[in-house]
Amino acid sequence: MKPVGSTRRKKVWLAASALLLLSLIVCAGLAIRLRYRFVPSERDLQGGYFSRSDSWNALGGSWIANANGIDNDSGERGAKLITRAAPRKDLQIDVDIQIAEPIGVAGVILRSSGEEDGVDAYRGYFAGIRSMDSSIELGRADFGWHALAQVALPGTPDSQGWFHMHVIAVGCRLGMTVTAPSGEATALRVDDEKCIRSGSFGLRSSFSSAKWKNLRVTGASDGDLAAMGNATASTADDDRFLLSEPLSAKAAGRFAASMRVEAVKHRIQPGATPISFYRLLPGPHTNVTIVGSIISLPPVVDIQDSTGTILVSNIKPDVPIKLGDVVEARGTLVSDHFRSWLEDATLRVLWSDEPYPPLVVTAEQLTGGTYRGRLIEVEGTLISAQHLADGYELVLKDGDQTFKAFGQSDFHLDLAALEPGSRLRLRGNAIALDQFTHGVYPFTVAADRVDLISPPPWWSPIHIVWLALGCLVLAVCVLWGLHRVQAWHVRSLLKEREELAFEMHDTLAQSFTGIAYQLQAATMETRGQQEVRAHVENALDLVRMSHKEASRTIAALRPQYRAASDIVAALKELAERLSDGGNLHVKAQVEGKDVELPLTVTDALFRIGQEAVTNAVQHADCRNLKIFLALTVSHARLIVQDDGNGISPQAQSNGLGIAGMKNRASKIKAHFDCTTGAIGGTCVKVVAPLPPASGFMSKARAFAKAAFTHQYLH
Amino acid sequence: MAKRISIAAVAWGLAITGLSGCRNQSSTIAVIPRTTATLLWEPMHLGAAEEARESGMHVYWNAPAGEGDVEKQLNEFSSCLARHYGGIIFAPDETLASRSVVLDAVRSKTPVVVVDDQLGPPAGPFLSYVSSDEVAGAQLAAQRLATLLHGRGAIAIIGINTRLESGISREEEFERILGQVAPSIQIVRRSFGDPNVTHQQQIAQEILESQKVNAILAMTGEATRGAYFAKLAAASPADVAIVGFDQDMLTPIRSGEVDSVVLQNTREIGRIATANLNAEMHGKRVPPITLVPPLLLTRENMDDPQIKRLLEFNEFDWSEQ
Repeated sequence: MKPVGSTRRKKVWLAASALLLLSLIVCAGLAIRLRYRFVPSERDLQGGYFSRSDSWNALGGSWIANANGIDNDSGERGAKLITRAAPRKDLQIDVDIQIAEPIGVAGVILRSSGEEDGVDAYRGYFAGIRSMDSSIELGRADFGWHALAQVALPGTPDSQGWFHMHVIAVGCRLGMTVTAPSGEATALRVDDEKCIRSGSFGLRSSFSSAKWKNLRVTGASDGDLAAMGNATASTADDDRFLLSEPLSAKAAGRFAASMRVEAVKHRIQPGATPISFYRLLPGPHTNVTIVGSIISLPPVVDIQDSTGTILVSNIKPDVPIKLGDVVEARGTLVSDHFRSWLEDATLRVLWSDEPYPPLVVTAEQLTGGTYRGRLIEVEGTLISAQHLADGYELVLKDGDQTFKAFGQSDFHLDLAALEPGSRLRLRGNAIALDQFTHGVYPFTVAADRVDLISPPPWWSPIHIVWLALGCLVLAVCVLWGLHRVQAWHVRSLLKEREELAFEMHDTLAQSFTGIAYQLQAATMETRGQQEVRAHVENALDLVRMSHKEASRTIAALRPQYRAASDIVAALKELAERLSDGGNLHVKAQVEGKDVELPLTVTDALFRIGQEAVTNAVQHADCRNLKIFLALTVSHARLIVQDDGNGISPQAQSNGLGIAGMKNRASKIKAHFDCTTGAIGGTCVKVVAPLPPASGFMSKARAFAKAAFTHQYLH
Repeated sequence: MAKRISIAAVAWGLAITGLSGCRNQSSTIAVIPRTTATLLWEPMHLGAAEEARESGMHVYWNAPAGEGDVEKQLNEFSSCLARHYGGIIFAPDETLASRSVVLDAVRSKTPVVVVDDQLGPPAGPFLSYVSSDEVAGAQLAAQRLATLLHGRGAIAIIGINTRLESGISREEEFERILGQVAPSIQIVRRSFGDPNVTHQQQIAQEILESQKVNAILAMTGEATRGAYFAKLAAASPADVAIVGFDQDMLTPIRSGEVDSVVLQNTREIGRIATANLNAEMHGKRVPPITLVPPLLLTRENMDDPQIKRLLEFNEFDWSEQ
């Protein structure tokens, strides 16, 4: 029958293992959920899914979603919008693309990973349309661009036209077809021997703003690739590019033509007046033309040139503008109280550019008015955030100033992830008009970009509560652990006492019984003096034997025999003591690294050796005794060999001493063997297995001991 | 009990080993140019990747999308420092702004090789410099202009980059050498540079429309492109030669709109910088400053092997860098 304690321990360990496994599963699930917040099914990867800001991760650029699709309003090179959906292997992407500028590249990324800010900072494929030389390309980025194939398009791209792109990746084969607005299709296919087999997909553009719509991502098979047609990879020199420009003279003509269009757009516009020119000339000034960069979008349109900024109202016609656009604005300029604004203005977008670099100011500085109407960057700590129908409204505090900010939702800002207490950096235009401040705030920032600098500090009240709870749980765990250690210690003590009781019962108690029996027999003896004397001598023999037995038990309980060499030394000392000056020659030897053995093994080896030595010296009448201990990583082998009379087969099978040795060996799962030679001599051999880490534990104990000694002796 | 303790000890050891594996291996180096994917910087990528491959190292290559984005570049540097790369090759966007982060790296015993600028702090055990030889570059430009203008005429200098020590010394050396090789050539206008091509184009447009110069010397790649755009957009073709610095485009050289460009041999710069960094990582001494001779790119020598060597990055397999 198994002990009750053992069953209970097993249950506890089982429960603990199950708890640990459950915790690991929960942690892994949380990690996966954080990495891929949404793992939508295939049918989800179209339409509404792509318009959600939490579906994407923007790296560079200025990305927004609208009813028609996704726009990147920036010409930043290598701007990327990568989906948060799970990585895919074989897939096909369908999308319509429009490139705004004569110099530009736009397309899709597939099988991507490791994306960072930077032009080619990802590992994946890019299929793109190039407006600068009217061509399509398919290549691979590994934080460095390697074009796999390029093909010229039949005509010149139209900045208002939509191209349809269809890209397929199956195994290591990729293909793309681009259908121009005219309906002509151009295709190419490549085989990439050491291909990237899976990854995310996304959108990417360079040099120009661009638009994507009707994006659809589905699975793909060999059949889809075959259906694409027999387009072949073009690697002819005529169509090769060196980064953004073609290498051949033929394609260079198209490239230079695009450059000329771009250059003409960027010429200085004649007749423009600096914005600050009329600031000191009060009154209306008709037919004023200014040229500047858009730094704020409706409801407050602000234009900035190198001399200052100006508000523009009643814009006609309703032209689409975006931040950074360089525009020509013509209208009536009104100057009053050293402020000026342009009324009834007609706008013409000259070209798209990056906005002016913002001035970095504090909220305190903005209250002064010096930087009002300028593109600024200001930091603040979030007090509250609110979703609006078409954007967001934030209330922030910096120093003593509390201010408001509003803006349109974009892929840079995940409003749901913002927590009060977060430190934010806002880029935009500070306005002090009452219609925006409501007379409550000193100014309001019309923000076009919000960046999270740092999340709320960890010592928020809820975190402190969690920390306290954590400490409590930890304390409970520590107490539980201490309790377990104490219980184990008590169990060990009880077990040892139980073994000691058994030992005393088997030896001393039995001896006392025998002595008492002999003495009682002596008192009752009537046959004569000699018989009485015989009983007394028997009793004395029993006393001597019991004394020896007690001495051996005490010796075995001594704690100093931990190291392997100690056992051998003790056995040698025992043999010499027992021979008591006789001519016994004892040879003791230890082979292998001298380490501390587990207590149970030490005890068993010593007791078996003790029995074997006693038998050899007292009963076998030997002249030579060899005690040999061999140590390996996995075993300890003890041999006690003598050249005495040997043991009879009957004694071997019935002798209590040998049975005791066998019993002790079995307790440590050791192999025991006792043999007698043909001409005498006995060899007792015991091979005990050692636990795998006993050497490591021995070293750890030795190290701790050395450290302790060093600490207290030096 | 001992068995349980042993298992716990082994598990702890494995956990420690696993955690230590989270650190980037020191055999990876970071290379941070001013921007990437340009004719100026991709040859350096190639040189660094080739040398790293021979030395058994890996290269992390990245930079801001636009040249002149100092904040992003310094963030990139700090990020690389935090990732414990074996060393960093760095082309600063601005001399003064970059000093602190580079000195922080040196203090943390991360070897840094600064390319294309003289940062200020002297070279030492963890800091060295590899640059294009600006004196030789200025010599090439001055001699080319002297030849084009037959030793006399008027020129304008645009795109003077005062954000970099190398930009300042480039301009100063040019004026000094031009005074020696062609004292009759007058510098009638000087203007500062910035990474905004449109701004540089409009400056060049004003110069072209003034019709007072025979040549424009553009001191940066952006200024060269701006001058080229101004020439393309001119209402009437201007007979003004353009000599530029730092390779940016090949098309205008091929078509003749830009006469010539002083090329930085960035492939060799990348190779030497990586070799020096590798030596510094192994505690060896390297030359404090290494100057690499520049080349003059003209329509006539576009197909020369030494020019073509700079463009071989197009064929490199970056997946093994």
